[in-house]
Order: sequence, then C-alpha cells, then structure tokens
Amino acid sequence: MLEKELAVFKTKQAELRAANPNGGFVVIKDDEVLGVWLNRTDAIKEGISKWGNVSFLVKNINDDLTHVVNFSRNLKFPNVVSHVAK
Amino acid sequence: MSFLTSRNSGLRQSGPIIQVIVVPPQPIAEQLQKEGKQVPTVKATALIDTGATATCINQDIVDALGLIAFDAQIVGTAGGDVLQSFYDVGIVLPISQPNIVSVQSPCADLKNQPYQVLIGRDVLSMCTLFYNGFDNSFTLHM
Repeated sequence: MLEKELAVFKTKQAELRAANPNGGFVVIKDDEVLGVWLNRTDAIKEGISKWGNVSFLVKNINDDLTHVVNFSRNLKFPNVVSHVAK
Repeated sequence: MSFLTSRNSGLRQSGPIIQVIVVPPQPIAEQLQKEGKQVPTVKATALIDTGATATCINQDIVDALGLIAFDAQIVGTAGGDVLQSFYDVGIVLPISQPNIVSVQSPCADLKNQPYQVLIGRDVLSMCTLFYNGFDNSFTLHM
C-alpha cells in the first residue's frame, strides 16, 4: 500500500519543490499526481473528492524521505508496507 | 493557555496518563456528515511518551474509526527500519477541547498495554510538560 505512490513521489519531488517554492502537500494515486495544496486538510479533501474514501498518498513536498520516526519502547507495528534496506 | 495537573501516587509506575478522544481527520468527518452519517469517535487512555517522535494509536482505533492510510514513513524498530502506514487522526486533549490536534500516526500493537494511544513529541511540540517526580504529579500546558 502506497509503495507505488512513494516511488512516484521520489522521482517527482525535486520538480514539485521547484514548481512550488511556498511548499505544499502533493496528492498522488498510482501514477497520477493530482496537484499540490498549501495545507494537508485541503489536499486530503481533493483526493477524496476525486477518488472517494480510498488510500492515496498525501505528502509534504519538503519531507525528507530518509527521516526515521523513533520510539524508545520496543513496539510491534502490524501495518508494515515494506522493510527498508540499509 | 489552558492546563491540567494530575497527581497520582503510582505516577512512577503508570507514567503520565491522560484521557483523550480520537476522531477521524476533518475531511473524512465532513464527508460522513454530508452523507448524514454519525462521525465515529473513540475515548482512549493515552500515555504521554517523550521517547516517541510521533503519536501512535492502537489497531482497535484504526478499525473503530475506519481510518485509511494517507502516508507512509520509515519507523525504527528493534528488527530494523520498516516503512509503515501512517493515519491522519484528530486528537482531542482534555486541555485542547473543543480544538482538535491533527497528527499523522502509525498503528502499533498496544493490546497488552493499559493505554491505547501514545502521545508523542508531535503533540508535545505544542505543549509544555512539567513532570514533578517529588510530588508524583505532572502538568500539561497548551
């Protein structure tokens, strides 16, 4: 889930940042880039309006994709998309 | 600015615990309201966890709210880094009511824990947390 969209985001991120110097949130489903909105709520609204209540990617175009979210406790996460190769 | 202070002789064992309400993200709530459907909410016990980068929710909350992932991020685990689905949710804190704090949360297996939510540093970035171990109390300002 969302792997394909993340791959599209990776290839387009530099282009999206150049085209949107004020930043924003891009909406992607499969190969389709719907657009960029200045806030996340509007981006989700547009995605739902286009595709309905299904999964699609909403990503801050300035996000660092290598950033790791950490937890000091040893949690198990059931909804793994994929394992990240070092 | 609003605040809460909680005093509990078992604070060292339990950690700073608060009651929160978890709601779907605003666009989903608005869509449900347009369709004349009730917006689901979940009352949950939350541990304030300064060791968590992000707020984290239990699978039961994902199921009860019918959440759909709109993001995926890398999460560090004991078994290595994994790309994990992230869910947009609204958290209503006792001190934020009626305002909703919007966050993106991964879902973790918390079923054997006395809490269903970990409040991470994404929410704490909007708060002041004062933990007074001598007094067995903590205060959360927002």
